[in-house]
Amino acid sequence: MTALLVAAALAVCAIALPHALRLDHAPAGFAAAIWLSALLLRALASIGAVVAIEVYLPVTGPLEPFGAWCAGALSSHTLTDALFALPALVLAGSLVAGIVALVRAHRHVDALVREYAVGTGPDGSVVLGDGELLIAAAGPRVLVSAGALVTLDDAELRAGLEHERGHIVLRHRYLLIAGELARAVARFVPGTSAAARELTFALERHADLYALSRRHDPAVLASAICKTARGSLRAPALSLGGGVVARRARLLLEADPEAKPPRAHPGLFALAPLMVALVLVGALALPFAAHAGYHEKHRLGTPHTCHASDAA
Amino acid sequence: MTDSGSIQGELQGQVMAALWRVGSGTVEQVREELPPRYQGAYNTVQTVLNRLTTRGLLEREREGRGYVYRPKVTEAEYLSGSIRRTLAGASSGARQAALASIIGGLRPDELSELEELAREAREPRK
Repeated sequence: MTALLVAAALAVCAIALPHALRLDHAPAGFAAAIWLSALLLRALASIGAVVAIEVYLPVTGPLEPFGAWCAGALSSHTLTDALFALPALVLAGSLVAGIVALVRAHRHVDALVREYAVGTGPDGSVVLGDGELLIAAAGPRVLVSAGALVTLDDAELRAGLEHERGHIVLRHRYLLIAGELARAVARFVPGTSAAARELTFALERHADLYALSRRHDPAVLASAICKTARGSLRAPALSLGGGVVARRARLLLEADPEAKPPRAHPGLFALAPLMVALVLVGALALPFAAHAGYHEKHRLGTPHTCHASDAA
Repeated sequence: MTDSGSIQGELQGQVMAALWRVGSGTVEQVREELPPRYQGAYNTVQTVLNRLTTRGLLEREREGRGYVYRPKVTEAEYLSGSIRRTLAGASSGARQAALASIIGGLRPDELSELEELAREAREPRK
């Protein structure tokens, strides 16, 4: 029991620690790895809490002081089982909602391309005939709106496109998907939304540094970011104006132009499948854990069903 | 970001607007269609037209010794996406009020056209 409490305390510290650190000046890839790990820990902590509620809590008999009762076919034990299964159901529902949101976002981008694509633009990008300002990475392609092509000057457009290519080269979409799945599972842990926002911010900064490493002027990129952030289009997740714009622009202007170009770090990239595997295995294990908890209770001899004699 | 940058953006916008008005045109025709403030040198307008062609917004066809430029994006496409999304994001009451305000500012002939379009839009649903 003590070991379990120590492990829980360590997990809470590890989850809270990134929020206390000043990661703005840390390498962007490292910051992304930290936030992704924090989200993974949150998801695992949520699954752990649900398993504890399903398997261990009933064995301690927290509702026993209220006594066993029967009302028709409904027994106090049936009600208790349903009560303890609720967190697992909520968590599973949240994961399904997260997956549905990801599929919807993917379809939204496909619809955007289907409805508004008018041809090929600079550097193989897909041009959308839309007056809003948008440059975004969507899967392996870069989308650029007519509004952006009309409004941005040559240097801003090149820097913006390089930023989006950075997202593709650094394979950010996999990290973002993993982060979103973890966010869905850990939805009820305080600070999860903030951690997911910080992950997106770190990925945007990572792509900014990629563009800078290709000899683009930080002030030009900052200007392109500010202009596209003014566009009101519901943009895909990895878009040029994403993240907290003023904070991003400040960090861009403070960036070292001679810094090494960022790369898709194998350690960071390995985190994404690991996270997805752990979260999915954990979520899939929930029904079995619930089943085990159910049997554990009945092994202890507590009656489950009500008979006519019980009701009497 | 720089003054020249914002001027480039402005000029690109004016050239697109001019081409939408005339449908298609040579460098000189587009230049004449521009507001006096933006009627710079022939070469400047040609550079902007070529840039917009490279960016995928215009297509050009050789005609005689020069080119005729044509927009690949219609003005309606350019404007309607943002209007539709803005209205989609608004509450039902605000959407109706905004549409009523737009319709209230239309001329009678535009209203007749709009009625015709609304009739056409309703027909496939029957």
